[in-house]
Amino acid sequence: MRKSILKMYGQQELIEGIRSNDDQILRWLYQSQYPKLEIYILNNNGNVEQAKDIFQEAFVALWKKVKEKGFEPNNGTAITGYLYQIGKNKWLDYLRSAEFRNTIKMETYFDTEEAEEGNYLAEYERQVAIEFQSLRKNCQELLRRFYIEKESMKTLAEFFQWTEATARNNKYRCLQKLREKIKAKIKH
Amino acid sequence: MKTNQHITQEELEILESYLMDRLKPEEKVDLESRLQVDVLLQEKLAEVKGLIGGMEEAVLREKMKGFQEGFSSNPNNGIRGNQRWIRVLAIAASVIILLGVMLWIHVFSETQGQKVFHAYFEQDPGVPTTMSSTDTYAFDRGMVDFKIGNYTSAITLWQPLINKDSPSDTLNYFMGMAHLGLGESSEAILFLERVESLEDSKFQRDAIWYLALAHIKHGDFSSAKRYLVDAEHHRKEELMEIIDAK
Repeated sequence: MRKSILKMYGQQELIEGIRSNDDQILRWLYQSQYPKLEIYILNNNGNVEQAKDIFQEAFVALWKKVKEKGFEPNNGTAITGYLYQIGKNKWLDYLRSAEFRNTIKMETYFDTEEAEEGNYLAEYERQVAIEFQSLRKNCQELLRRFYIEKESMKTLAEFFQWTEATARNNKYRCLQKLREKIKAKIKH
Repeated sequence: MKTNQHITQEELEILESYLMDRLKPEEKVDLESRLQVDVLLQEKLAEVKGLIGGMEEAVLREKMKGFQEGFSSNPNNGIRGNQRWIRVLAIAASVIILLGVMLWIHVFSETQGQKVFHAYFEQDPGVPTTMSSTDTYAFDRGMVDFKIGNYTSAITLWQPLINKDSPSDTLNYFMGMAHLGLGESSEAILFLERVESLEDSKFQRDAIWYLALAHIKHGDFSSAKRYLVDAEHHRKEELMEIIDAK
């Protein structure tokens, strides 16, 4: 028997990589785990496009769980196992809902008023993610650099060739624009 | 969570600094004491948290598009599992037939090294795949492609595993063999050399033989000879005679 070939990242390495949005670790986690779920979905009445969508939703769910510090790995494959399990559950939920849809009108998340606060925040974040893409590129760049890359106002001002005061004002305006877009989509 | 309150620029800057851990200790204490009694401020904090979380999610979703690229060239969208494999095998068979025709047309323009290489090169049959271990899943899937001659797909699947500085001799060996299967002898040499230098590797002996063949294909007979001296392959001597006659 030839020996095992893959050096796995440790659970702690993965957790730190996810929390810091480490490109290399996120890429490894995505590309090493996607094929397994794809085969599961292909063998259970799905297609590649659906496999991709389900896996990406599962990946985001895992990423949020780890970032919220609500994930404590209890074995050497806890993270990849959890990711696969979320993906499987999402696919099974989808299959059940598709069957259900034939007889009963499905309710979307925002149709139900009984949503839990945690789910509301997750859905709000999803709306932010969607509307963020519709902002002007300059706004996206400014917000991304400040909130994700954690660049200072001084660095931003130099990059955009603004004063620091202008950079602060523009950041506020861009965020307000984003809030307005979301408010237009979500009814209170 | 209410998301329709007015948030001033000053409030936004304090709340985001709190969430991004940029407040001075005394500012943090002050804000936390205000948060304990101000429900409206709690709502605003929750919204800013949602905004930052959502922007992070947007960036992650953008990144995932890039991560998916290695898999997105799959032409089988919409095809179910068993149909997909039939399609893969049909495509692989077509590719093999096409390659055979191209090889037949090309054979007269081959260099001496290429002719010798094709006469002696036999692809490694690969290793068994269990399709059960999470650890080796990506490798196993690539191995399925490797065994049906879909070397490009195998390389695409294995490349991310190499990128994380895996010291794996198996992975390097089959990356080398996949490149050799594609006729990319320079790339094959890079991977096989990593295995050849590992004394305890079970692939070392095979890597030496294929390194000799890769150099022959490349037209570098003197390098090939250096590897052939150490090779243990049963056709080593006849290949050595052919090289000596060149």
